[in-house]
Amino acid sequence: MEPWCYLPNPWRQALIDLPHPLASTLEEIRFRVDRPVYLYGGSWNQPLAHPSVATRLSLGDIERIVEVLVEHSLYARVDELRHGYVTISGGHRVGIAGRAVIAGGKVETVRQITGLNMRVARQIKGVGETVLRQLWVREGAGSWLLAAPPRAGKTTLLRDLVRILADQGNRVVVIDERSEIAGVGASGISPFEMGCHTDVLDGWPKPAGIEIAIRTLGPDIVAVDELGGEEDLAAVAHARQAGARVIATVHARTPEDLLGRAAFSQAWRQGIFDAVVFLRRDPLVGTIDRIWTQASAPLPAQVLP
Amino acid sequence: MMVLKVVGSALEILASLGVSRMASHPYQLRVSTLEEWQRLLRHLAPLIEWRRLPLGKALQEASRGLPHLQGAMVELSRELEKPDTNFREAWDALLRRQAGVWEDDRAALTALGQVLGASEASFQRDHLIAARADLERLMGEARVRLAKDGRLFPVMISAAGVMVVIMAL
Repeated sequence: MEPWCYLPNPWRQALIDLPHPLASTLEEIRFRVDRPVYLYGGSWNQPLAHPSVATRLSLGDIERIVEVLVEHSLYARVDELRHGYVTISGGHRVGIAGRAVIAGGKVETVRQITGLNMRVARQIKGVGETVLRQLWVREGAGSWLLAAPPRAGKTTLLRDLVRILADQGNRVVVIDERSEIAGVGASGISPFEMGCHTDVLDGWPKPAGIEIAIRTLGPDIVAVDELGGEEDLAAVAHARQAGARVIATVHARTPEDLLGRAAFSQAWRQGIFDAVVFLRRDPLVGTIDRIWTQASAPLPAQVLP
Repeated sequence: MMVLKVVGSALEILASLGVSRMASHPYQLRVSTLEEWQRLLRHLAPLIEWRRLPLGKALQEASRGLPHLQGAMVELSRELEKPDTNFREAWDALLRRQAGVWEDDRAALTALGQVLGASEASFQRDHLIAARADLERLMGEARVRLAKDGRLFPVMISAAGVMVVIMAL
């Protein structure tokens, strides 16, 4: 289901009434206090214009939207809020901007929410085939890292790779910390085709999920989104040592961005990943910028720590 | 003639009993409704704090076996599935429809509805504890009213009935 179906009116109806060319290319809907609602596509943006929608949002409007998105149960979503988002059914992620409440040096929760960024999750079948072909020729079966800036199609590509590889008979376990890859959420059913041989560990933190997957689900491949720090990489290394392949994503625009981080640089040198696929947003979301493999593209000397 | 008097007296006694029960019913209904609300809040606390169920589902589950509340909570839960529902308005409407909820009780439960679901689990626990304390106090008052007014009226009606019977006989 499209993410706007979970919004209250008048925004829901206004988005349902969008012309098809806009609705089909819509990537983000941004709600900001005292601003119009803005729609963003790959190469366009425009305010949401509808007779029933006010030109500016109030704080009360945002509160109402959040209340509906969290099903009137903020207490059940505080862990997600601490990380600055909530994921709604269908795997659509809603980023949240607001005042951080700090307790004990950590973000306790977010109050006075002033902005929401609703990202439309889509399944685009076939996007993984090109990547798979290129990687297979160069590297064969291995562990791959998909690196790209935000909104460049990492998760969409990962989802499709999971589907293709699982349908080829590989036992794939998806560690879906934010319910964004498979979009399982509270319903317990993925709205996306994830392949015949895929299990989803929904809501599990990445290190714990990888550990559980290795111990109990016997995966050929572990798929994980948005690797962060050393703990995540240690879990990936553990999966590799246990004999599983890993396909993961990470935020990075260039090799220098990626390997400038000591943990990733070390992981590359240790051979945890056999290839890194860099994606970019232009001319189209999900365009392959370059593919690095251990054999064909050794690290540039200047990024080695 | 005597037979008629006896039959009339029997009918009079039955009528007195019926009217007495009707007179005490609102007091008894209030007590039993408040008891159910207390049980509901007691059941609700772990469903929110530990199981983190969505509010609609938690209310529905907490109201199981509570005849005065179950139907209303199922209806509220259905309402909450609609994206246009405002929880506080739906909660207030439920309280207005709820038989056995008096003005003071409604004020306490309305206050709970203002904060229910809208904060972290530990805050929710505190709100539920505070609401139960309020209901406990109201329950004490309700029981006193039941003991005084709720029994006074039936006694007076019964006494009047007995007098009519004596006069008739």
